[in-house]
Amino acid sequence: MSRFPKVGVLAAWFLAAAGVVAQDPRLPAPKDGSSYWLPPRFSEAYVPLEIDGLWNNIMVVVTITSIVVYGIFLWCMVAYRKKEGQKALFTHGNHTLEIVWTIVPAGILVWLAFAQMPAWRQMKVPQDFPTDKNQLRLEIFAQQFAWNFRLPGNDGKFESFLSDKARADAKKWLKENTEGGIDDPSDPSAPGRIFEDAIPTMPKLRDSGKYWDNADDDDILSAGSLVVPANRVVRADMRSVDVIHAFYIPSARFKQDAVPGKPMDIHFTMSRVTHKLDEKDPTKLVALYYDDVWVDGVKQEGQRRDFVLEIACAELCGGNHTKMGAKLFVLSESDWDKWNQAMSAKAAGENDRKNDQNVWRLWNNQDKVRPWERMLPPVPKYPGE
Amino acid sequence: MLLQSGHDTHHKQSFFSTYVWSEDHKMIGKQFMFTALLMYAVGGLLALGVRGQLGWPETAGKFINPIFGWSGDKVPGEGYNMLFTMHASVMIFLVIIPMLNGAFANYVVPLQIGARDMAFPFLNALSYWTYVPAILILASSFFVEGGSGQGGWTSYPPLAEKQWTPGTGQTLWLIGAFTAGASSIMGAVNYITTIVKMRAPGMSFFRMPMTTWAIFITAILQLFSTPVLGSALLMQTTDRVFGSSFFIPDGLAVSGNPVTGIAGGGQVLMWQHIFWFYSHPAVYIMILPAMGIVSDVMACFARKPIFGYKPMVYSIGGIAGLGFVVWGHHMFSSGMNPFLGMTFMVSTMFIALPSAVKTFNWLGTLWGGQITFSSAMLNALSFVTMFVIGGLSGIFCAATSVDMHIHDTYFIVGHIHYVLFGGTTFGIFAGITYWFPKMFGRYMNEGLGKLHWFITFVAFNCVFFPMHILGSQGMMRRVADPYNYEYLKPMLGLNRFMSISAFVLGAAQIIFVFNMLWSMKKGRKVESDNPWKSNSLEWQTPTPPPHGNFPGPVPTVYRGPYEYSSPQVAEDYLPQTTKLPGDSA
Repeated sequence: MSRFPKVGVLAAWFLAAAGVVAQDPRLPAPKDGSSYWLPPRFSEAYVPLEIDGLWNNIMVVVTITSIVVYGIFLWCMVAYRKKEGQKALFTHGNHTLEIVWTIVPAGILVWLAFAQMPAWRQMKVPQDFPTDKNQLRLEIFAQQFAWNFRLPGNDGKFESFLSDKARADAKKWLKENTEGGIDDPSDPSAPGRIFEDAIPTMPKLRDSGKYWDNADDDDILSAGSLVVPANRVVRADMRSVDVIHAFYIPSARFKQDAVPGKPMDIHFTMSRVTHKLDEKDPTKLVALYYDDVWVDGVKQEGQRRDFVLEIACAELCGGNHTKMGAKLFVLSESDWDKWNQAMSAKAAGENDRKNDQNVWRLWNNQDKVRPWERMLPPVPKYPGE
Repeated sequence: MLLQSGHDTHHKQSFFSTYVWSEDHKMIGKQFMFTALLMYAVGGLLALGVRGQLGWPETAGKFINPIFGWSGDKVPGEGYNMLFTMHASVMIFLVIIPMLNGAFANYVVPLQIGARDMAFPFLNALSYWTYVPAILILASSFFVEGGSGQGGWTSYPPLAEKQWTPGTGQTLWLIGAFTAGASSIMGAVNYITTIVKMRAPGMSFFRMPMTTWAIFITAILQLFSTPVLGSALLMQTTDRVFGSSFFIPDGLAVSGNPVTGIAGGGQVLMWQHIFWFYSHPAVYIMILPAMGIVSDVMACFARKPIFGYKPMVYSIGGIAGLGFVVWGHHMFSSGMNPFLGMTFMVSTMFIALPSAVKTFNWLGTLWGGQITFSSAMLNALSFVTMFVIGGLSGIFCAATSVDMHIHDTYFIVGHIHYVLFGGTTFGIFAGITYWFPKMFGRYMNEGLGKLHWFITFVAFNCVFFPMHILGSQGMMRRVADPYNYEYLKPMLGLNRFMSISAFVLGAAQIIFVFNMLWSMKKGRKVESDNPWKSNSLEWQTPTPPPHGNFPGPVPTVYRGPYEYSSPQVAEDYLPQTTKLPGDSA
C-alpha cells in the first residue's frame, strides 16, 4: 500500500517526461542539404551550391580515376607475379598511349579549371558580388581571441564612436602635425572613415581612451555571436587588429582570412532559419532545432541541446586559437527586423560607453566582455604620410 | 670486399677521419642517413604528442607536460602549437630533405654516374657539418624561456613576430631553419656540378638512372628557391632582433594595447609570398628524389625497362618548372588579388598533369613485368598507390572555390601526409632496403622488412585517411582542443582511433631501425656485388665500394640503365657497362 503512491509518482514522472519530449517544440537538427562527406548546408546561395556541386564532380572524377588506376595496379600484382624462367615484356613505352594519357587528364583538368571560375569570381571579386540593394552591412573585427561584430542598427548607418570632443581634438591634431595637402576632415568630399581610422595613430587621443562615446550611436555590438536574416546578402568589412585570423562558416562553405592592415570586403548569405524571437522579449532568441549532446566522444542518450550554427577561426592565431569560436543565429527576415529594431533602440537609448557595453553583455550573456575602447581599428592609410 | 680493389692507394686513416670528418661521399651519405633517422624518431615522437592531445584532450597533458616542464593536466595551447610546429619543422628540414638530398644524393649519385667522388668533397662535408648545428639550434629552442617556435612551420607574421610570440625560441627556430637551408644549398651546388661535369665516359644525360635525374632537377630547385627562403627568414629575424617591421603593418594591437616602438608599414602577405616561393618548390624537393628511387626499385623488381623513360624525365622537369609558379595556391583564402588566385589555380591544375603521367608510366612499367615482392618493392609499390590518393585529393585543394571550404582543415593535413608520408617515406624505406646491401655488404632481413611494411601500410592508412573525413566535415588544423566546438564534438571517437593507429605506426618504425642495425652486423651476406641483378653503375663495383668508388679506371657506359629482360642477352638484365658487339660509348 505504501509503495503505490511511489510507483504512481514515478509513472507520472515518466509520463510527464515523455510528454515533454513529445511536446518539444524544437525539431531535430537538419542533416540534409549536404553532399556526400560535407557538413549540412544552411545556405542556398550561388557560391556554396557551386562549391558542393564542384565537390561532387571532382569526387566522380577522382573515384573513376581511382578505380581505373587501382584496377590496373591490382591486375598487375596478380597477373605479373614472377614465374621462374620467364622474361618480362621488353618495351620502352608506347607513344600513342603516352599521348592519350596526357591529353585525357589535361582535358579533365581544363574543364575543372574553368568550371570553378564563376564561383570564385562571385566569392572574391567585388565587381562580381551579388548586387541586391537589400544587403546587410556588417563590420567584423577579429582580435586574439574573439570575433567582434557591429551591425548598423535601425538607421542602417555605422555611427562614429567618437565624441564631439574627440573629433575636435583630432582636427586640431591634424592641423598641428601635418603640413598642407591633407584632406580637411570637415570637407564632405574627404573620406571620413579614413580620417576616423587615423585617429588611433594620434598618440594623445589614442591614450586618452575617450573617443568611443557618441550620442546618436545605435549600432549593435556583439562579441562571439552574430545574428543575421535569412536570404539576405551579408556584406562585411572584416579587419584584424593583431594577427591573422580566418573567418570560417562550415555550414556556408565560407572562409576568408582576416589580415591585419588589409581590410577585407566579403559577403555570404544564410538561407535556413535556425532561431525565432521569444514572444515576450524580442531581444531573446529561441532555437528551432535541437541536437545531440556529446561528452568525451560519446553521445548522451536522451539529452538534447539547442542547435546553433558555429563560426570558427581557421588560421592559427596563438595559444587560445582553439577557443576563438562564435555562434551564428539565422532569423527569418521579419523576425530579424523586429530584433534589429529592439536591439538598436536599446543601444541608442544608452548613450555612453558603459551602456554600450551593457547592451552587449545583455545580448551575449557572457561574463567576459571584450573592451571595445581598447580595440584599435587597423589603419590602411595614414593621412599626412 | 668481394673484389679486391686495385685502387687502394690511400693511407690508413684514423677513426675520426674515417667516420667523423670524412670527405668521402659514401661516408657523408651514411652520416646523413643515420642522423636523419635519429631526427625521424624525434619528429615522430612530437607527432605522437599531437595525436595524444587530439585523442585525449583532457588527460594527455599528464604524460606530455612533465616532459616539457609545462604545468597543469591539460596540454597548454602554446605547448600544442610547439608540438606541431616542431613536428613539421623537424620532419621537413631535418628528416626528409637531408634524407633524400643528403643521404641518397650523396651515396647514390656519384656511384650511379661513375664519378670517383663529389665535385667538392670539402663542401660536401661542410654541408653535413652545417646540418648538425641546425639540429642543435632547433633542439635548443625547447630549452629557452617561452619554449620553441610555435607559429606553425609556416611561421606566419604577425603571430610569429616578437610582439605576439615573445621569447628566443622563435628566433632560434628562424636561425635553425636558415642554417638547414645553408646546408641544403651547399649540397645542391655539389650535386649539380658533379652531375654536369663528372659523368663516366658514355654516361649521357639520357642514360642516367631516374634517381640521379630526380636529384639533379631537385638540386636545381633547391639552388633557386632556398636562398629566397633564407631572405624571408632573415627579414623575420631582423624584425624580431633589431626591431624592423618588414611584416608588421601600422596600427596593430597586442591584447588590446597598441604596438609601439616600431616603424610599421610592413606587409603581412609579403611573408606568405616569399615563404611559399620556397616552400612550394620544397614540396617537390621532398618528393621528386623519392620518385626517382621508386622508379629504379620498380624497374629492378619488375625486371622491366621503365615505361616511357624520357616522358618520366620530362615530367620531373615539368613538375619542377611548374613548381615555381604554383605557390599562391597556399594563399587562396589569404585575401590576395583574386585574379592572381585564378592564375595560380590554373597552374596548379596543370601540375597534376606530369604527376598523372608519372603514375601511368609506373603502371606501364608493372604491366607485363616479372614482379618480385621483396620488401623494397612492397615499399615502392606503396609509394605509387598512396601517391595516387595524395595526388587526387590535391585536385580538391587546387579547385579554388572548393578549397575555400577545406583550406586550413584536416583535409589539407591528410593530403600532405599522403604525399610526404605515404609517398616520400615509403620511397625512403624502399631506397634504404634497396641500397643497404651496397652500403654494408649484407641484406636487410626480409621477414622483418615485410612485417614493418605491412604494419606501416595498414596503420598509415588508419591514421591519415580519416583526416579527409574530418577536414571535409570542417575540423580545422592546428587546433589544440577541437571539441570546444559543438559541431566537432562527435569527431572525438574517430580522432581517438587515429591516435591509437598513430601509436602503432610509431611502434612499427622500431622494427625498421632494429632491422637496419641488426642487419649491419648479423644480416645475410651478399653473394655477389650485384645482389638484385641490377643494371646501373653502383652495382658494377665492389661491395662496399672502395675509396674512389671504382677499382681501376672508371667504367665505360654503353646503354641506358633499364635494359631489363633484353632479348639481346640470356639473362634478364644487361648492365650499363657490358659491351656487346656493335656497342660504342
